[in-house]
Amino acid sequence: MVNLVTSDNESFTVEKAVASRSVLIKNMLEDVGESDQPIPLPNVTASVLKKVLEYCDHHKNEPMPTSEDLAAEDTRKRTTDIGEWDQKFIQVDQEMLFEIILAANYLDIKPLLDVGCKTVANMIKGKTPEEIRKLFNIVNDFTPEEEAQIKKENEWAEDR
Amino acid sequence: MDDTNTSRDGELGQAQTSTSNLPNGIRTAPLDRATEIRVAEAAARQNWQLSPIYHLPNELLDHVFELAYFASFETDSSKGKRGSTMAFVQSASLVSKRWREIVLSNPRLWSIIDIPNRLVIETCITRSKSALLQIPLLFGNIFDLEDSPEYDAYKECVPILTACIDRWQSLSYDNARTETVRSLFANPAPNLESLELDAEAGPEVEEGETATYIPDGFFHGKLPRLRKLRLLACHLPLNPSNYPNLIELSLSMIEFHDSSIFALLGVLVACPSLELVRLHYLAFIPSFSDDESHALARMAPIAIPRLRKLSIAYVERFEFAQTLLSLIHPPRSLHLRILGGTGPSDDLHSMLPLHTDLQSTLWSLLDIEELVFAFRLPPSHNVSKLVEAWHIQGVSRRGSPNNPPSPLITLRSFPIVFMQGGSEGSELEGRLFQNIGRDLRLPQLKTLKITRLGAEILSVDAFAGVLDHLPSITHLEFVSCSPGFVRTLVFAPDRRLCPLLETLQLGHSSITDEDLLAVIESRVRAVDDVQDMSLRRLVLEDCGAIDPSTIEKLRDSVEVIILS
Repeated sequence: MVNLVTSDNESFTVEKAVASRSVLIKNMLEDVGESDQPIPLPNVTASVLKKVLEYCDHHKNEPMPTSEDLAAEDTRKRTTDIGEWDQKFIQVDQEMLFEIILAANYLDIKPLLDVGCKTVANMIKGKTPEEIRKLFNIVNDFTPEEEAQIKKENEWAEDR
Repeated sequence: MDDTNTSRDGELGQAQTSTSNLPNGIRTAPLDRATEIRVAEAAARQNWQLSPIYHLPNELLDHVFELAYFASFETDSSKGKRGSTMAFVQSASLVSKRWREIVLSNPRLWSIIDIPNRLVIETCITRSKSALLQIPLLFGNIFDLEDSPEYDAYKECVPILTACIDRWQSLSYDNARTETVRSLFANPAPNLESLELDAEAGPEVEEGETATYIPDGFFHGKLPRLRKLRLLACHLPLNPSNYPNLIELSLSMIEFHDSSIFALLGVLVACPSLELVRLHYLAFIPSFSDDESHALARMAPIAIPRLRKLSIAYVERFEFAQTLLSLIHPPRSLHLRILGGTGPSDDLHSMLPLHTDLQSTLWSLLDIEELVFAFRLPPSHNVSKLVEAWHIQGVSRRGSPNNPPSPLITLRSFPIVFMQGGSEGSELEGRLFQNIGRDLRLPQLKTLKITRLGAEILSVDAFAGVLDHLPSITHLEFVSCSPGFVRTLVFAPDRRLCPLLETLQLGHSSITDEDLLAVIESRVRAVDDVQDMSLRRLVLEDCGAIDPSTIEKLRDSVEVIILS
């Protein structure tokens, strides 16, 4: 078993197979060898780690992405399809969604990072700038003149 | 990767600028836009948590953009739409300054050129820097291309595109014609991995004839990295040197009147890494020379160890499929798909290599665990309304019902000869069904689902003969079938079909109380003297002739599930 301690000082004891879905933790475990020392995760809060561990537990028996898989990243980028279980798992509020992405990035859990990023990509696809701003609560920081200029520049693409 | 401070600057959730909490009657002075933005930015710095997307560093946002960009291309190109990637780039670059900066600085977000417009192409080529390019130039079905503005645009674009041919990664081009193929590939394309040439709607096509002829050896040495080749109405001679080392080969609507299937086999030998093969609407020299026949007879099956899917559709004769399938040895996980018209003497023997030892050819068929046989499918859009199709689908679950189904075979066909209420179609379907188990051995078959089987297609005795060859069935489902076939399941001293049957499922059945009780009770009574007898479950859906009191009585013997 592995003991993980979050930024808000909560402790999680999990199977090594679950914790090792994180390349960061896996490498740490390999570096320190057999040890009861807790592993601090200063960039992850308890609520987020709980969610991340739920994902790791569900996928614990799947093969880890190989260097060949990572080399085929171009192919992975060609789809934003997400598995059924992963889709349900990632149905969280925006704050948690982005926290999961950041945690997956920090902990180096590539498949989870993909699920999170694909979810955001799917939210963006096919939307107008205004719809995207509204969805993510983003302020339009272009001046009206800048906006008009960009729209004018974009006209060439509409002239087919 | 922690540059979140940078990313926070310049953006703010709208909630922070809201004045909706001001008391009634108090009006704020209108701010000019620049002041408004400065106020917003200041507020954002103080309270940026309100908009979680700001937490993402640029690298991750960039990754998200790439996913959305490439997915837009894949999705929309399959729907035949154009310009979607450019629409995405334009939308994203108008959201905020930070987003625009990311979009403009990522060359990959400009690497798909899907609008045949000189300005667009020049911009994409410049902004994509040295990134490899994907070029889908799809005009759609334009027959009078010569006089169209699209063709003028195309002519304007070709020199710009060919100037960077060393950066092409994929090219899809419809309305292909011999002349334009020659001009596009005047020079080598050293990085081209995927090429799709479609001449179906081009100006050279006439009544579905092959339109564009690419000379033998034209691509020789020009496409060293080509892995995916799709040709539609484009004839490239079946010389193995024209098709080396592909992982995907799709040949459609091509008349190889200069080649026999023997030449195609030579191509397969040249491509041992093939994963996907589509052979649709192909015509070959119909017969073999004596030498070729002898050579074929001596030929060992060609190993294609990575082949995932083989699709054969509307070839001139099923003999083609059968000959091809008897001479390849794909992996056990192959999904074979055959689609086309069936002649009066066809059956599974004329489509599948059942005369061979399947272990050395299509051994995937031996792993079929679930089989669906649907008779009399409603006519599909490309089939005459008079013609009814039949459909067989076999899947494997790799030994466990909890595993997702993995398709192994899909056959869909219809009689070539139009029947005016004649019986040829029924005879054909009946003959095909009788191949199951007897000729196409299915040692792993657990589940059989039969749809719309009627007495005019098959006699009850012939049906019983089929089941007799399928003793491993544990789940049998009848949908809209004549009740007579269900009655064959009655255990009698001289006939005990499907001895391992655990679940019997009936949908849209007119079976009577008496017949259903006879089936269930005979099998339950046999528990004592048949060790393996194990019928446990009866599933009924829309069986209007069954009385509720019968269902209660059946519950004493088996679990009864009523589906609504």
